[in-house]
Amino acid sequence: MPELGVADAPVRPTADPEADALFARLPDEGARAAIVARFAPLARHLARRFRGRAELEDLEQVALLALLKAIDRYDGARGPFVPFASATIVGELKRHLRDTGWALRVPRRLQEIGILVGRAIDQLVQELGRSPTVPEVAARTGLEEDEVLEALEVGGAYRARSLDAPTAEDAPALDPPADDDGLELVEVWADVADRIRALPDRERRILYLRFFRNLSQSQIAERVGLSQMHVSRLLARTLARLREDLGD
Amino acid sequence: MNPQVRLRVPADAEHLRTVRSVVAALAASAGCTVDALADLRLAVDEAATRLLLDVPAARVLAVEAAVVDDGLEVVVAASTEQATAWPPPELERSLSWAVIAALVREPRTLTTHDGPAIAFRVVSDA
Repeated sequence: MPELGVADAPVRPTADPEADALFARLPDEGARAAIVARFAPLARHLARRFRGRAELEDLEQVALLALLKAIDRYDGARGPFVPFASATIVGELKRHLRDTGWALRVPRRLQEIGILVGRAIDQLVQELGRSPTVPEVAARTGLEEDEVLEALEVGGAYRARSLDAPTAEDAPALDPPADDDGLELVEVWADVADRIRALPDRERRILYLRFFRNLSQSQIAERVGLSQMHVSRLLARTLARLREDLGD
Repeated sequence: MNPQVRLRVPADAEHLRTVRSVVAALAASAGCTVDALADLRLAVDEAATRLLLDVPAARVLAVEAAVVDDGLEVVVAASTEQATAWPPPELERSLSWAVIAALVREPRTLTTHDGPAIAFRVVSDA
């Protein structure tokens, strides 16, 4: 893997009394949020250095999660935060690229099938008013049912740009559920609330709509302006990450 | 006979992909919608991962899926030679369980001849 010249990331090992004061207030949530806000531009900056090798928004998400990790692990006695955080973030970005390297090798044929299938699903949802079955998608696209299944399966492996309608980034914060049924669920989710708050707005909103509002993936797709396949892979990925973060 | 599959793979996350694919193919043949298939995949993944974590020295993941009237009945079990208290008391409060319960019908724990298991039903037009 070629060196990416990230070693000279914006390292400013100068005194930062404001940040020090915030760190001193941890584990106060307000302080934590302020630290995240303060260093999020650093995380995004580092993510952009790897642009072209993965989707920028994925990279930014990885970088922000790494920032959280760095905040948790930072020990002020061992030097300024920025170099420490930069090393953590770059490490996580590289690991992400290594782990998802296979994703870039999806054969072109499968990518094309994926685009056809994704579009057909969304059209059929509109026409039928419900999620289509695999035979229905096969009939619409002229593909074999096996091919449709294959496309659904690798749905998470690549990003079909043309399907990605601009997102309305109007995601609400993770509202509490409106009914009592949700209370027990909330208790469980409270364990990962920090991680959920750290998710990008769109992922957080999808999680919320699926698990707290009980909307189907197709309904969510309509609401957030993405294809059902895109929602499907964002959801799978988000859950895998939460699981990993929780070590649970 | 209603179509069904039985699948045994090494108890290792890298084989979950095979499990997901086979179960999803059966579900598709049973007329499951794309949404139901997506939920099914997530639930199978979550159940299997939970078992791999909670069942010490699990050797084999045994998965059974059968087409029923309105969808698919799935049992994911982990076989082990070690005595295992199942289900662990904290399971129902875990994120895994919250996820499974939200995605599928009638999630439950049981012990099959293979070992500790999680079972659930997926409705085809979910």
